[in-house]
Amino acid sequence: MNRQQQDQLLTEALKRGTDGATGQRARVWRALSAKINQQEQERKQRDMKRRRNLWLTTAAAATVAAAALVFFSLTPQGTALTNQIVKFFAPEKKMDTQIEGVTGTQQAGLATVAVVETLQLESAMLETPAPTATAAPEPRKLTWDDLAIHGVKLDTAGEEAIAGLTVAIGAAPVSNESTDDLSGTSRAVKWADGTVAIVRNGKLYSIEATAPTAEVVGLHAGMTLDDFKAVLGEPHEAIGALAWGVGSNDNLIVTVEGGIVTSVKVSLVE
Amino acid sequence: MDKLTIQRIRQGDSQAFARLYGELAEPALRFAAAIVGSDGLAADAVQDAFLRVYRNIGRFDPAKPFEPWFYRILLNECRRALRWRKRLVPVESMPEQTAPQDDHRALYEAIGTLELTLREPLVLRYLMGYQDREAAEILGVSLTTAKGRVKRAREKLRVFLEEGDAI
Repeated sequence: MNRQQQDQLLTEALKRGTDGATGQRARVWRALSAKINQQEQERKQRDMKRRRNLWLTTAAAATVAAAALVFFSLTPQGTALTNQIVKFFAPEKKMDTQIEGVTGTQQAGLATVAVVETLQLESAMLETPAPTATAAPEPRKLTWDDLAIHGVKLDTAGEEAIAGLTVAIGAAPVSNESTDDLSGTSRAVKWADGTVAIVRNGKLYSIEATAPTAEVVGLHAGMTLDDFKAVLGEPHEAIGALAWGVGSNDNLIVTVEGGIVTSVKVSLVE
Repeated sequence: MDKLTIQRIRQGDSQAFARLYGELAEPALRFAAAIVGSDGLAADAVQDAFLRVYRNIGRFDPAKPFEPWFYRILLNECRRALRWRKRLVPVESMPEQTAPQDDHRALYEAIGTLELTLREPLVLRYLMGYQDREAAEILGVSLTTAKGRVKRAREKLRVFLEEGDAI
């Protein structure tokens, strides 16, 4: 028996030996179909169960989230807790802010104020500056050149000052009285409109006027005290009057009745 | 097996799966019976193999031929069936196939007595008609190993093959 015949013998033996198995083809298919259908059913049930569980989980999570939202936003306890948490995580920053005029005096320079704020407050401040820092106009600071009425400055020679005031008032003085005291000679010159000039030791020492034409830095008798404050800031308390000055002196003195300035006086201080 | 049928099975077409079964069921049942030596075990192995194909068709690479992939699955099911039977029936009590008989049945039964590692390439070669290279691929062994195993199987069956003239 040659090799080819042996191969054929092997093939034939295997085929004949397995003929019986082929008779199970239909039975296997029925069992296979039933098993596949069963598994498909089980898979569909698993999918449905999984979808239902997913839906339930989502619904539960949404309910909890809604309850938490209500608690944290609508109840005082929740809001307080939220604020605590926000504060806990907010970075604390120290910021130096320079604000002018916070001392309330005309001479107040730059005051350095250390402000500790949260980041939110800091940004809010940067976006909307405090009204006190920028809204209020800067009070006018009086200078020696401002101390003049009708353009006649203090410390001018006595005769020159009297002549200048006479021209400005448009009338001659109604009185001229001289007195001697320990500090020297004083001369009081008065005009009919109520203007009084004091010349001391040959120099114009003060001018006091009640006429509305007698202006000092645009201010005059007949205006309200608030008008003066708006320009010059808060006055000092003087004896029976209010005053502003160059430096710490009282050089512009006003008398006030019922909120109305009744007289204006510029004066040197020795 | 044509690629269109495989593609349809991948898309969940049950009729395409039925066509696949119709085409492969008979050779699969023969193969399994030759390996496990029992029609009942063969039927179980084939059923489980087709079930695995149905479930795992998505893992099959359509660029490759389908049948080697299928027979690797079936071979694994046959090995599993044999391990299961071995737990139930001690080896010593299994019927021995020794004496040459006067028909093909004797040779078939002799094949059944071969070691599994020798029986598998022999069945793939002479029942399924695979070349040594294809058989080696299905078995997951080298070509040399596959050839050597077929040769050893034939040597063990020499007494049956040389006396084939009597059959």
